[in-house]
Amino acid sequence: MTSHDRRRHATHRRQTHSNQLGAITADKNPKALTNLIAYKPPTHHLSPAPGVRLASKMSLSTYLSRFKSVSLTPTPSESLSLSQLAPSILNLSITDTPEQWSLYESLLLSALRTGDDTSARLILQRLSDRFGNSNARIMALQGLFDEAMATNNAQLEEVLKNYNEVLKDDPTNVPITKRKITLLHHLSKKTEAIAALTVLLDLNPTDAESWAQLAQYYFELSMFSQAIFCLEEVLLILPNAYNVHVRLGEISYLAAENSGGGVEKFETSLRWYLRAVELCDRYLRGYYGVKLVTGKLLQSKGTRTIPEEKVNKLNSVATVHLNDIVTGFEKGTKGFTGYDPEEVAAVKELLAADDVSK
Amino acid sequence: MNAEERDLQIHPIVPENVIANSKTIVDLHSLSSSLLGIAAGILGLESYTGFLFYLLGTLFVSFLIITFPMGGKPDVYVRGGLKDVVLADVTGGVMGYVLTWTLFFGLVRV
Amino acid sequence: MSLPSKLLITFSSLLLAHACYSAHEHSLLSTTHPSPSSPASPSTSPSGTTTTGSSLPLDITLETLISVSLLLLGIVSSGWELKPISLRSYAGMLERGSVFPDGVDGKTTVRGRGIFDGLEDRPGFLDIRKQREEFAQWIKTHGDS
Repeated sequence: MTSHDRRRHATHRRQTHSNQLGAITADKNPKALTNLIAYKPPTHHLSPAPGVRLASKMSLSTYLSRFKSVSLTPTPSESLSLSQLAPSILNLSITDTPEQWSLYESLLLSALRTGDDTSARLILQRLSDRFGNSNARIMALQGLFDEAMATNNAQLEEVLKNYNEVLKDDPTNVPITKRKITLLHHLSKKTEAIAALTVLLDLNPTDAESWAQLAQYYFELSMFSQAIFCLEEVLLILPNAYNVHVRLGEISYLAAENSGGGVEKFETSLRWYLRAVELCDRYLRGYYGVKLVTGKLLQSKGTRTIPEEKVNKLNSVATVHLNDIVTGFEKGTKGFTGYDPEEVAAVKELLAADDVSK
Repeated sequence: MNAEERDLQIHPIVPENVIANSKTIVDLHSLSSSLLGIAAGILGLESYTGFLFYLLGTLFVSFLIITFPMGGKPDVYVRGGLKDVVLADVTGGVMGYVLTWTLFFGLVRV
Repeated sequence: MSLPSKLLITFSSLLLAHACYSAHEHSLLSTTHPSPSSPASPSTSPSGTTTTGSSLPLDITLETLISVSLLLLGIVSSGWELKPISLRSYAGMLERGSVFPDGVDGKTTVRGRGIFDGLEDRPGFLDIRKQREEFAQWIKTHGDS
């Protein structure tokens, strides 16, 4: 390819890119929409086109903060906007700083999410050039790439076999073990995934992430008491993790509902929620749970260990806080804008249902 | 487990924020003690008067810190409350103070 | 840094510099031409330095004190960020997006985040195929609507 060709190619690519962007902002143009569906990732990143050069004036830390401001499970539109940064990030000169490589890692994940496989391959290539193929973290990223590229189950089984081989040589390779477990779970071999995860936890019992994952697997199988046990293990490692407290409240609540709703079990759930609220001020999920469970407790008949007066008071306190959150969020008051819109909607529903029952 | 440890378990603190806040306060104190030293030099204070000036100046700065960045609530931002705001980095502050004090004393009075 | 504190710092620095200069001039004046009106200085000390600060005129003293007070006020009030130390208030502020952790740009995002979000996202167990499917689905539904 001559340099002229390359430049023309790059210009063409930029045009298709801007078409896609237009399609996302203006959903009405049907032609632009077909463009969007046939989203072809850019094929060549190394040609420095003028537009790209302009974009690359953004510094490394600006890009990094854009990636950090999105959670690890981004919405599709967030993923798309992140993976569209790929050309300009890959055009930055490689400075070999930790920031750059962590940026590459995040970019790889977004590229894989959005199906920009060409960029993903290039990023992975650069990462393995720098850190070598035998680095555990790079191996896990390579595995992630292979998983994403597989088109059928036979290829996935192949990837799984690779993992098993790696683990035969080095059983202490934690990232690969986690990949293997995830893949097993993805292939609906849930009991095998759980078995592998318990083995990992035997070797490495202070890994809170693994305990939390095991709790999730048990939860999916409706094995609530096991899930609760695992989350309690997480709390032994991180006693202040208020979101784990809330999760425990949620699972205890579901367990109580499932088993016909003993007052005692709802009270356990309430205690978890209350601790979560104690650890995190104006915590939406926590107060939602307090409101929900106290409502249940007030309806149910049975011997309570928590006096009714107290339950009533907790219920009204939670109502006040939730009302504050909803009005603050809707008015866009400073300090209330960070809540999840879906969660706020759920709170409104709960409050409305409460009003009706009164 | 004594009462304080128990209290920390019930109401945990964020160690990073404690460190960051005390660093900010120390920075403010050392900056302002240098400025106080300039004033003392210009005024030509000597011996005990100079140190008394430093003491009063530090109290003034602590008052300002509690009023402005802290909004009048030192306990929210510093573990020891009022005491930790006033006494943060006294020795380092005195060093900076004496340095600029003598420097400006010499500069002004040829 | 807010504009009022910037102005305050600039103004009071100039004032302090002026006070410094005035004090210097005054000491020069009193060493070379001992003021005839001050009866307390019939002879200057051999080294040429005047004795104490009490010889400094009242206006310079006041100027120094006021400028330093204003300068300190300007510096302390110029937007120093302190974070609450109790986990309860700090975590609450993070969750509802009134502060953001280091490295996160509060201008590009509004969503709050927690200290322990990693326990729920679990990057080590990322199911990439599921997320790819979700994304492909999203692209499709956006095409259909």
